[in-house]
Amino acid sequence: MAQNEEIKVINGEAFKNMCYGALNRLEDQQSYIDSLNVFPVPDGDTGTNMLLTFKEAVENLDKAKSERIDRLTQALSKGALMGARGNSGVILSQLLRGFSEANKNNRVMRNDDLINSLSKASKIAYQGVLKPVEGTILTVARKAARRAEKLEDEKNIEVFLEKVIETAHKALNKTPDQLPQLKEAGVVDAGGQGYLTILEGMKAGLTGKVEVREEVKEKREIKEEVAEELKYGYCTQTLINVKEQNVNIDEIKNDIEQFGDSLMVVGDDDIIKVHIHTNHPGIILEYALKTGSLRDIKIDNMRMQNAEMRKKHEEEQKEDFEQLKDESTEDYEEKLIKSAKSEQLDRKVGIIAVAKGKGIKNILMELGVDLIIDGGQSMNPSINDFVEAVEQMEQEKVIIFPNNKNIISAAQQASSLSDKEIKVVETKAIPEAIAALLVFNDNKELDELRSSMEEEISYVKTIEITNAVKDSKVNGFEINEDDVIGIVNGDIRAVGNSEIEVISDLIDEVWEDEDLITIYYGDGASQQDAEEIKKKFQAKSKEAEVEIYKGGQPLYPYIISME
Amino acid sequence: MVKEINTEYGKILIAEEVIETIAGLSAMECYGLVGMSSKNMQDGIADLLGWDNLSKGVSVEIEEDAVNIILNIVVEYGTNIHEVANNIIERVKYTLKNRVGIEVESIEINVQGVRIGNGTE
Repeated sequence: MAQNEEIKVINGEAFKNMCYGALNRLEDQQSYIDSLNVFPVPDGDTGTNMLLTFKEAVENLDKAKSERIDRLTQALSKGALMGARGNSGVILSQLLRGFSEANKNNRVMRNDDLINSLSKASKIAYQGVLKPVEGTILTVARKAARRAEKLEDEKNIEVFLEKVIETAHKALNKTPDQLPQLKEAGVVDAGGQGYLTILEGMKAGLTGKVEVREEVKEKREIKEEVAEELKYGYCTQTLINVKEQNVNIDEIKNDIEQFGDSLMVVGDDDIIKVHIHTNHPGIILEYALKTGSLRDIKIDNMRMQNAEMRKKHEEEQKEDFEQLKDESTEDYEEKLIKSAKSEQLDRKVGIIAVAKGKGIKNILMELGVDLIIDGGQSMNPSINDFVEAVEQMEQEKVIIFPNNKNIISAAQQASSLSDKEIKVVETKAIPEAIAALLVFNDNKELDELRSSMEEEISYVKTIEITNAVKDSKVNGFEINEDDVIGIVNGDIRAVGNSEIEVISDLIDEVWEDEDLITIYYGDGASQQDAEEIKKKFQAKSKEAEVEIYKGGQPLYPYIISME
Repeated sequence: MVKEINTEYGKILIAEEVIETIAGLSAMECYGLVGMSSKNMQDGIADLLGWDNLSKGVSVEIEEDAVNIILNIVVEYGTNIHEVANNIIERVKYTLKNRVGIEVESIEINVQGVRIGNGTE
């Protein structure tokens, strides 16, 4: 294998290049890392925080008028300290402090300084936390340091870094097994990915292979669609019956690791096992032939495996769906209901709504909602419920109606976790979603669509009638347990002993010549009562059109919309 | 005081102590925090508290619907204290909201001490 000149010493200039390389690489991967962020707080900002922290560190590095490693690492560390943002940023600043402390009085950096740097970085980073959580950037940093400590003999820094990166990558891939939050979301740790990215960038910066930047961008496109590991398509394995003695396993590793990743070469004097993910299984086998005869050759197309898995998943979902359809309508109370309408599947924009009550769900589905998450007042769906629902959607663009002010934030958090384009239309009640659905237009951009929906919502007045569950004092109303409360657009506006009484008070108070009134009656209310309410409205205006639907919602005997 | 949450089926009452412990534990998972310091401290000595009495460094005040939390912490030397405090606020808020279902009105952080780790020369 053609080798460039070996790099054994890192001088000031080389170190700067390493930092620039890392910064470039972080910039490229920022949004990917953001998308991984589910722990400790799933706010999708790890990539941004690490980038901003590192950026400030590098800016400070530029200011240091020195070519000495000790001054430079110190400047880097100080910049990171000042610029630290977020949990991952603070950890990164401590890692860099470790780098700086390991290089006191060093003009240049060699193998042993690098080992020192990595282990000091890990050590200092661990000191800063009382209760280290495994499966995070700390784990990745520690495992990388452990590997580095075993590489005393690897004087070629390029190879050294490559090996450390390999270990860091493996550690990163294990993070979902260590931290359940990651597993649940199906991601690796964001901070860990950030550290790996920095190491990779440093190596790229060191070797001067700056084209990395474009290259990575392309790879990321693929990553977003398929899984990260699928940079290489074929899992290639073979056993080699070694014909000559004294085969050097490390030599084999070195020679073929350029062709892929997940490389494993193990064995003894007689037999060697090679495992690699590569795009060129042929080259690997040809190479192996030079070493000896081959057996148990196995080549799997991992991209197809992945596609097959996806297909299987889809089929399972379809089966679930068929089952749901077969079961009686009573089972609408199932947590998730999918729509059968094939014309909806052709739409570019998918719609998810949170609702409770059979009648209301049916109405929403008829108006074009693809998927309903069961929930509402006192039954807030989790962020994960939203993420799952979004994943189930065929469409890449999704609109969510939370239909309750307490659910809006969960929906928004979920939207920041997904790769799909998601807009949360902040509906606080079912009638708002119904009004918004009437202006749905599949051809509009999501932003435009959301603002037109929100405009429509502003014309709707929603009255909700419910019962007080405890004594309290709100909006100047003295409320006793079991009182009937009338809520208009989220504010308590009337309190009384009977529903009819409260509703007539409210009608008097908020009537503004609306011409379309819709009454959804729920649990604890009857068609007759609703007819009574209809009469109250008709007494206000002869022209107003009043419709009555059985909503079946719990907790709210009546939800009334006026527009 | 206890925190009351009303649900469809009845009330949930959450004792101050519970909120203290959860706030304390989630804060302790935050990077940069290396100890809690007793809230009853009058002499100004920030004593590092162990696991058993970690909630001593946390005080919770519940008034009507509002929950206010005060955390007395010790941080690691060399970290950006301002940012660490911010992270703790964010973390505690998030955990209480998600695990307990409580919206916290305010979180006050008192940095009572700095620990100089033994890896630092």
